[in-house]
Amino acid sequence: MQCADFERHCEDWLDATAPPEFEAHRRACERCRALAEELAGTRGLLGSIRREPPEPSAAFWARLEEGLSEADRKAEFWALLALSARRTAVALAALAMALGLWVWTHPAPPLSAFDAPQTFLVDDASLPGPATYGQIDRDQVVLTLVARREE
Amino acid sequence: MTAEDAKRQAEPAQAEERRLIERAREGDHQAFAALVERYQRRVFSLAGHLVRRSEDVEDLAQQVFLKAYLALPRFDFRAGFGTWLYRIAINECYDYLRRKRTLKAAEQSEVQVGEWTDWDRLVGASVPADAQRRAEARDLVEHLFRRLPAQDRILLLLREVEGFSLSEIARMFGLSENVIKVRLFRARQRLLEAHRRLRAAEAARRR
Repeated sequence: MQCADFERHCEDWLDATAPPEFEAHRRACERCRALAEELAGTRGLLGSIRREPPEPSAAFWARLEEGLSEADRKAEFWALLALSARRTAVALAALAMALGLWVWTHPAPPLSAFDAPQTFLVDDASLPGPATYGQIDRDQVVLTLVARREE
Repeated sequence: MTAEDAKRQAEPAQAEERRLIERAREGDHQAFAALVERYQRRVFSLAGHLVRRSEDVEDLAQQVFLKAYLALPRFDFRAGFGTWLYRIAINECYDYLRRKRTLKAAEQSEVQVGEWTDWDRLVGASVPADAQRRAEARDLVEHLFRRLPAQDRILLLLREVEGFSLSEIARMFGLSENVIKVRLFRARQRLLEAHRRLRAAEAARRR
């Protein structure tokens, strides 16, 4: 056994459960022998301060029970809060589902020809005046076609 | 009595304790009172060796039991109830020691130059018998403990004063026995070092 191993078994030695090689090293090594005796001294000193524990006062349980009742009240409050939060979440989820179902079963009517602007390419030859290739609003084309019809 | 016999004898008490815990979880204060009665002596003992004033001992014990009550829903019966309760007690003791780390000048006892610092005279190989020496030993330990980290104090108290075994302490801390042995060894070394410095300081003062 080396000195480092000796240190690991000191607690066992205080309990008289150290391996035999510990005792052999303790006898052979002056440093470790002195160390073991010092450690035994700590056991003696600390053991000497052992005393009967103080008795709880007459009010100890009453104060503790007050604390327990307060803890129960707080737990009940938080449980109610959590329950109402859960119920609200469930109700909102049900409402969202109902709304989604209604939207799905009631699709919007198709858009009429003039509801939305359409874009398409036109040949610049059909346009009065200077024109360039590109996309233009349908409304603008219609106005142009109407204007040409009227010409 | 064999280990099997001891285990069989302990079973009714463990079953009874389990019933008390389950009833306490449902808010039965009388069931919790029965648990408090079973363990209050050990909790008061640990607190009493850490704390001077009896009001502080009660406050510390109150905190331990109140926290245990609040944590009952999370107790899973894997460890014994006593071990679990002591883990709570140890954490409360740590918190208490952290709060008291800066001692008020009025509460801090003066280092008395005198014979009570003589470890060998107080202890030697045997435990001092009379009340005078026990009081002196307590003053010395209290003085030395103030110079130790909280963990050292608690470990040494659990081991040497409360009489817990290495395996019980290991379970309370959730560590292996080997780790506890090493920590105890170092705690004892720091205690010895604190005593050496105290004696050196007093020797210097006398010159």
